Amino acid sequence: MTEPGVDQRLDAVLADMTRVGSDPAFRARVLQRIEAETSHRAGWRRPQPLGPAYGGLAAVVVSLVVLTAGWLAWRGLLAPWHPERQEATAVGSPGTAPTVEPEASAPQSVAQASARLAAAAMTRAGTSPVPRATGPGRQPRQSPAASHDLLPRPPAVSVETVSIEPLALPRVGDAEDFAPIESPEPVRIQPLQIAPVDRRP
Amino acid sequence: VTDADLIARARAGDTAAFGELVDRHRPAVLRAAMAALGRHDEAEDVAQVAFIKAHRSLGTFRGDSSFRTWVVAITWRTAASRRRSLARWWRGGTVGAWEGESGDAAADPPAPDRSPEASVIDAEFAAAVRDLVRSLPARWRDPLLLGASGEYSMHDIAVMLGAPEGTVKWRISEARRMLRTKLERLGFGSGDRR
Repeated sequence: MTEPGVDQRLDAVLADMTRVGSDPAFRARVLQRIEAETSHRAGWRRPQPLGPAYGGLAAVVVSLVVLTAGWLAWRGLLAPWHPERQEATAVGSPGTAPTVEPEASAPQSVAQASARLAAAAMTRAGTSPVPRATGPGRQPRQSPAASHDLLPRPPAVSVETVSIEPLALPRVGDAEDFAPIESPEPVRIQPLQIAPVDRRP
Repeated sequence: VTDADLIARARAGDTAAFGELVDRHRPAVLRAAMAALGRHDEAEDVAQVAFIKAHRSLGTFRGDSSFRTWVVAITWRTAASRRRSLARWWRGGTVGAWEGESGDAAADPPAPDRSPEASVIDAEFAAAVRDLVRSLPARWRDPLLLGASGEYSMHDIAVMLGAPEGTVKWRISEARRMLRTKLERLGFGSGDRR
């Protein structure tokens, strides 16, 4: 095989590797795919006939949610509108519990701050008859068996006068137990002495 | 009717005009896809996708180059992307690649002016060339096949590959030199009696 012969055969084989035959249906297939793609796009652009229906369905769902929430609130099953809590708060709230404003009452010293907090705690304990969680005026929850009782239920809140002796807290520094501890003499620590070990046999 | 006229009509919504463009440039598009993929089924699909992309982008065609160069460049980019996605193509999945038209070369009918012995030698030569081309890296194989197809100018190939024309010419020359060297080692050299 001569040099030109090799080149000619090489060119022929290489051209044959990318040879394509005639295909009259190729044009139809391409146009069919273009048509399908065009109609698909047009379908997305077309206004949806079910749009108003979807909007109405969404409005119904939102209305149901709002009505359900309102009904639960009216029955007192939601925390912010609980009637017992409302009443308890109304009894114990008016001006009885002093509020501590950290910024306004910046302590001049730790002793004064602790004294103010202790006084606030005593005041709150003596004047608030119905604490938030465990006060005596709060009625226990009805058990399922008791809920079937046809007797008239007691009032939800009963206000009683309770006298509580204020807790006497000693001031820091008044008691002997809080006397400052002073070491009579400083503690001296001897440095550790390590003796060399002779390991030679 | 020129391509420009058909493009103007296709832009106006004339699908038949675009069909005429498809008929005109189908061989060039299919050859480019075939050079990149080596499989007729994949090349057919890539060619269709390329024409669909061209139809979708007709509004952006400015006419700086010919429609043929433009659509062939789209085809090459699509085929290169498909080739990357076909992981099996590089993992020994090239079985059957570039055997579509001729299939098993030995099964081709012998040319009337060739003896049976010469036909067998031609078939062996063709099979060896196919194997060698398959083993070439893409940077050599792509310009070699595109150039040997006789369908594209150097400018078209340069646009497709994104390389200067001089680089494309050099790569084609180098690829042919590599093939000739390997063919000589296989006994198909110029001094061989085969």
